[in-house]
Amino acid sequence: MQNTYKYNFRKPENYVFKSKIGLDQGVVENISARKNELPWMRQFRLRALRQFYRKPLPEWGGDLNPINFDNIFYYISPTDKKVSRWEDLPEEIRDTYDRIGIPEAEKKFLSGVSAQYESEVVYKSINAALQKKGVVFLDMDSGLREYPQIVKQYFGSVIPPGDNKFAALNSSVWSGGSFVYVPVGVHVDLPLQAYFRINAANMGQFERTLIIAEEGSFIHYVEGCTAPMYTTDSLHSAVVEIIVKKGARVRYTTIQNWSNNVYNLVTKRARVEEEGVMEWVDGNLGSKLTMKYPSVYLLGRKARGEILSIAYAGAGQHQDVGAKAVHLAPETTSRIISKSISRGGGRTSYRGLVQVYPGATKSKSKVVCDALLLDEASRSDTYPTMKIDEQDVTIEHEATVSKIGDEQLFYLQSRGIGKTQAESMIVNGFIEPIVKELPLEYAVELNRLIQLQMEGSVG
Amino acid sequence: MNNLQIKNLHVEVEGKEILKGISFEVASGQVHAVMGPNGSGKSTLAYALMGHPLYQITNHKSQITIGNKKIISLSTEERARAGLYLAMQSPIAIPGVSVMQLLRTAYQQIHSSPKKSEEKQAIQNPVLARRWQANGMGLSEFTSLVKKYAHTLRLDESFLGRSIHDGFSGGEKKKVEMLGCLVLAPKFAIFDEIDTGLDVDALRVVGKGIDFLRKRNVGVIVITHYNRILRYVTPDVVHVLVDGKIVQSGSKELAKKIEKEGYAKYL
Amino acid sequence: MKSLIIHETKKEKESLEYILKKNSQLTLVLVVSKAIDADIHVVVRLTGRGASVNVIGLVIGRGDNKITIHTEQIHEAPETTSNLLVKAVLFDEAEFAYGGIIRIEKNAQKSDAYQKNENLLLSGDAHVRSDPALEILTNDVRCTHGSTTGKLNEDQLWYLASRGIARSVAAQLLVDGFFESAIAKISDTISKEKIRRILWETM
Repeated sequence: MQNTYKYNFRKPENYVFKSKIGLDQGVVENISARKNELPWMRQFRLRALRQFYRKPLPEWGGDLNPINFDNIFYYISPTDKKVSRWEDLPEEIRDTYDRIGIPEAEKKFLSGVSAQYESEVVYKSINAALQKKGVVFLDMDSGLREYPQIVKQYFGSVIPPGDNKFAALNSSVWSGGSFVYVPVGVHVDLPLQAYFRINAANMGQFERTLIIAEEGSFIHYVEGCTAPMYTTDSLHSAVVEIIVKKGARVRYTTIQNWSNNVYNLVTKRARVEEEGVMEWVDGNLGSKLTMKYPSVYLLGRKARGEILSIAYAGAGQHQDVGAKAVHLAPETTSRIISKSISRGGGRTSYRGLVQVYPGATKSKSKVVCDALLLDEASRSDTYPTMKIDEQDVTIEHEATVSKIGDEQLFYLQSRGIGKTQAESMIVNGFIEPIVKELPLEYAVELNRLIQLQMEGSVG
Repeated sequence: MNNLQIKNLHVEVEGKEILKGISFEVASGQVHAVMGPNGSGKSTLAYALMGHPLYQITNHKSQITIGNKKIISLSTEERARAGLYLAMQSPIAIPGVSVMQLLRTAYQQIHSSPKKSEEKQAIQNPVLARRWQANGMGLSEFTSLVKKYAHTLRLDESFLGRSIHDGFSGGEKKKVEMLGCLVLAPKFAIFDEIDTGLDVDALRVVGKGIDFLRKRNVGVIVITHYNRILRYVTPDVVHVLVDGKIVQSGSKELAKKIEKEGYAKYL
Repeated sequence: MKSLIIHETKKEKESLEYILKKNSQLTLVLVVSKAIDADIHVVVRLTGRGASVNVIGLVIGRGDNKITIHTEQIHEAPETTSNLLVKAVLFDEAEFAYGGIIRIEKNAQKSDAYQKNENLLLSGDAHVRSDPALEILTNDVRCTHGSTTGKLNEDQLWYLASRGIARSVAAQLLVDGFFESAIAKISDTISKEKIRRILWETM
């Protein structure tokens, strides 16, 4: 895949820069220097690098052996990543954009043709409204620069670099991602879309996002895109940390559709305090291998966590995704709903953990996993774990794997609906409980995308 | 005189006062009907009398007695042993525990006091179960008794071997609740909305059951919403419960009046 | 060929494997109740078309027992059925870990597989770990699994109290009932009695 792009955003750094290939202390120091970071962040990165070297690859999950860590550029300025002309985009991609109905401007942006996404204008006006409420919404680099105290307090507090090998990697070479701060009692009614504040740093391979919701606040953050995202980077390792304080509510919606060369390894975790609510809505459509388990750590009484996950795996894809709910306080509740679809030899694996610590009395958890196998070549796995060390609890898990029901198909066909269309109707109905939680445009695009996948017209 | 006396009963549920000073007295062999609109506290009365933990008695002047025995501080099982029975509106299912097994165990717990070790063995050891006895009755005698009552309630014998209330229809559940009352022979029985959801035949059977209890000198409180049961059982006293208080008590004529006029004048 | 095997665990470490050929049927009842530590591995391989297996695991853990049960339901032929139910009651500081896998191979089309683990914690110091897993490599199948863990149902306990039954006796009734609903799956009365006897022998 050869996509060398020029991508001119109006940004201070306006030239192509690529770190030398591979990873070592020098590369990390370079990244920190280029960003003019404070010493504590530089130290943080270097310590994380040492941890990255120390930690082994996980023995479970997808096949990570093909990753050659020495053969990756750990910092590329985004100007280097996209096609410059609409025509240079592979035909399936252009076709998909058309048929899903991506708005013209977005198409141009995604393809790199547009120098600036028009929503930069939208971003500016939204930002003005947000600022009035005291809400901060910046890319992570700027967040670190402009709000160093806050960032220092929370950065790495939910996911310490030593948590796992890829959190360590991200912690040492992170670049881009979002910084969101919502003050006490503020409700942000409009979903914050990551692509609004698109500038170079957004589409990073090692994005780092930090969201802090103070007491009683509410925010809905949306990132990603149903349209296939093209990138040369083959390793994506993002970290998302969310702090939900007392009585606050955060919803984080992601749809990823990375191209089939990408290893997408993400650590996402929320710390939820008393009566706080965290909702993860996670859609995984692309990538060669995704390993992602949005987590909630329920630290305060009556804290609540909900994880809704959709995974689609087509030929050559493995979605190893799921959720984690850790109950550390009384009267906490968690709900995990996972819907997965495998087709054309794809493999979806649900991997989840529900853990209840002693003292987390009267806690409740319910996990429901449904998997649809569309043909003989595909595969579905379910690997849940429940660790229960408290008596006064109610913990439930159920999972079902099946193909499209003959009776359902027959019913639709008897109403004059062709087989392929009937199948995609059933599949859309299958994922509907989660799709209805998505912002409308995403829902519409997702449904159309599934339809296209079913028709076999898209990779 | 073995009356059930309810004195100045104040009951709170999750901090909210639902019953605001209920007082009345049921003599053995009497049927009292308690009627009232939704939310008046009818079910609260039933559960509070039976000592359900969710229903807090807040006033130290409140009292419930059976004859001379004060039962307001007794636990639920102690109240059952003191002779109180509650037939529930929506009883919970207990898979794996059959109707017969429950009745056998309850009867023994109420009517005799076996030694602790025998207690356990009698329940799960099938051999010892044959040696079960209570109140002078052996197992086969008890079984016949239960079957007899089931028959009068038009409840098929097969129900006795099924897990209690597990997959039973509304009518079947109410019949099994009535069966429990006939078998366990309490002094006072409370029926919480036994007429809700029953067809005419079932209502007739239940009505007969209550009359039978009356003849056996059991005091009965019939809590009803739709008053349908009162067509099959004539109450001796009727109480109208509105917003946690008894606003009027009277004879069976009061019930007919309510049927015609509703509760409007009390609201 | 139809058989019923009642296996009472007596040794600390056990490994059982059953291979079911064409149209054979097996009901396996596993009882772990002798207040010992146990580590049991049960593999059932359905290698012939139409084979079917029913596995019932009944576990009572006491004291500081550490009990591990690991099961494998492996479907290697079409139209095979497996149904597994593992129920555990844990007292004192007992620890129970259930791990199980249903694996349906590519050529096991039109197979049905079920797996259920239910755990009852009777003390505040008991611990449970449950890892039921599924690996499904073909699509024309029906496969479900589930796991629930909790303590005795307070509403059920109160209902029994309202019938005059002392709490300890009520708890015993519910624990019996917990196992009864699994034992009810066996049709042979004599086997049912035998299982009950083995289960409660230590008490």
